[in-house]
Amino acid sequence: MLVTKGLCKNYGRTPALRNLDLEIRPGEVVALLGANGAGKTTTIKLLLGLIRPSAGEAKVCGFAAGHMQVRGRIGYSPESRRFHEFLTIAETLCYYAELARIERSRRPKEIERAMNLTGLMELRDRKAGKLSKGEAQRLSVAQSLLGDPPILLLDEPTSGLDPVGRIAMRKLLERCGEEGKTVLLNSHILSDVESICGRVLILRKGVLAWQGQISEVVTARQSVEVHAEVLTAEAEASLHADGFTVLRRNSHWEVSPCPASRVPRVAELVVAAGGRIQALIPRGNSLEDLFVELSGGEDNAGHYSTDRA
Amino acid sequence: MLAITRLTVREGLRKRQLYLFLGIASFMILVLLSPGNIRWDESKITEPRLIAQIGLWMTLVFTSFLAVFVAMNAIGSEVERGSTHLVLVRQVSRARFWLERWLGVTTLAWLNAALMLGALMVSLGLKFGAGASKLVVPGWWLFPLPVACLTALVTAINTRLPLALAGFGGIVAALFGFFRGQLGIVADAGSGTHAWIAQVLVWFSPPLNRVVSQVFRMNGGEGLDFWVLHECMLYVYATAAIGVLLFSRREV
Repeated sequence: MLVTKGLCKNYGRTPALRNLDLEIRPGEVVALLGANGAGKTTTIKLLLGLIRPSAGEAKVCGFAAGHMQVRGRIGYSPESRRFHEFLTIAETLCYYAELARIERSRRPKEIERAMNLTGLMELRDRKAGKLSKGEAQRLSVAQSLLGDPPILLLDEPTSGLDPVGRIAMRKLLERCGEEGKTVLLNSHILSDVESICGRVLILRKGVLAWQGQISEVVTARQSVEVHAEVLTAEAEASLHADGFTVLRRNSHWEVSPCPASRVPRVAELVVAAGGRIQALIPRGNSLEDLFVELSGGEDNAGHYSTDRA
Repeated sequence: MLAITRLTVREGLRKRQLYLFLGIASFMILVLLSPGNIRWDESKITEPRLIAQIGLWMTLVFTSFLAVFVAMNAIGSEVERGSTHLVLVRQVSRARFWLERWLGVTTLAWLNAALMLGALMVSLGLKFGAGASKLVVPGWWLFPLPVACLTALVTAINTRLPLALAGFGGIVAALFGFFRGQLGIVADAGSGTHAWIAQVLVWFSPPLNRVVSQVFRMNGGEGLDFWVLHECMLYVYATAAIGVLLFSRREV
């Protein structure tokens, strides 16, 4: 549904995106992650046809990005939400509903639906200029839902929301996923991404550094810390022979990949090789660990990839 | 229908500076036209037709500057605040967005012109009777077009350049437009660089001088010369086409 091939974008001489190949299938809920300046917003703008690629191509539903045929099928919530301050929420949504070519007779229902979904019904007569950051965020998402588009491109949809608002937004996005909408969201709040998305793309300095299922992140990155009085070279060799990777830390070893079911095997191998174990501490690595690792150091980038781009 | 235009007009009507500018302009016209203020060779001008013509000329000058003022941030402000994203991702072409924004600011400028012409009409009517008010009628016919020329030019400049440059460019263009006749004389008289520059300025200036002279001729009893309207329309088409082209290539 959303496809890019060799997509590149330069701003002047500065490359913002380099050789991006991605495919998002219908009904997928995918997160685009990356540090500030990694190229997330550029990718979304290219998919919307707001900016032109320097090389490569971006296609939506088989059409070139930005083509009139696909515009009605995309809902977009931008990162910067600057609405006309003098319009009320209802007027703002009415304006965008008119631009979305929603029939006049259908508009009131559509607007009501969008306001109900985002919890803006009670604020319908409040001026956009008087909204808090979270309320403006909800309005931004509400306008993207007008016309019930099958594709949603959301730039930081949960930022600025209070905990209750975040939970409501998460539920809304989960519901969108269940309804079969294709969602590409860009967020820094990784706990939200973990609960909403099935797949993650991580950009680093304009390059796709990692992509894969969130479940793979958790499985591939589970490890166990082995704290022992004696850790022998034989124990390390046994672990290697059994398919584990051993990282020597100051006070312990970190053995991976090691889901909970494999912890007894680690203990068995260490003891058999003469090690005296004091503690085994299983570590469940999260998306955040992967994100920090990929964003933090060049050397570590892609170390744990399960589906390296 | 014309949602962007309607919003542009609504947005423009909220600008306090616009009312201030309009108020000052109307006040200056009325003060300058008051008895005893207009003199020629030490004697007062009391002839209604002359006063009406001076009033119309001043109205066009102020209207032109107001047109520059309302149009100088027509596109730039929308792009800067990012609200174009939400419009252009919908089934709104860039040409439609540009043209609707231009139509919005032009409508605002027309409203200003209408208010100033109305004030002039009322003041002439009060001073010289209903017959004098009719001398303002050519202004109603002709002023919308030079206003549209200037808003199209300034909006086209603001498509790529910031507010200050668009405003400056618009004022310079308006001045060249009023003195286009003199530029034409320079262009026809010489053959050097000066003449060549003057000729280029004639081509690129809005035909404001032609509108002024046409208004005066109509007040003298002549009919409407449609070529003046065509000339203005051609200028609007050309500048709008350039504006749309520039915007279609701009990244937002």
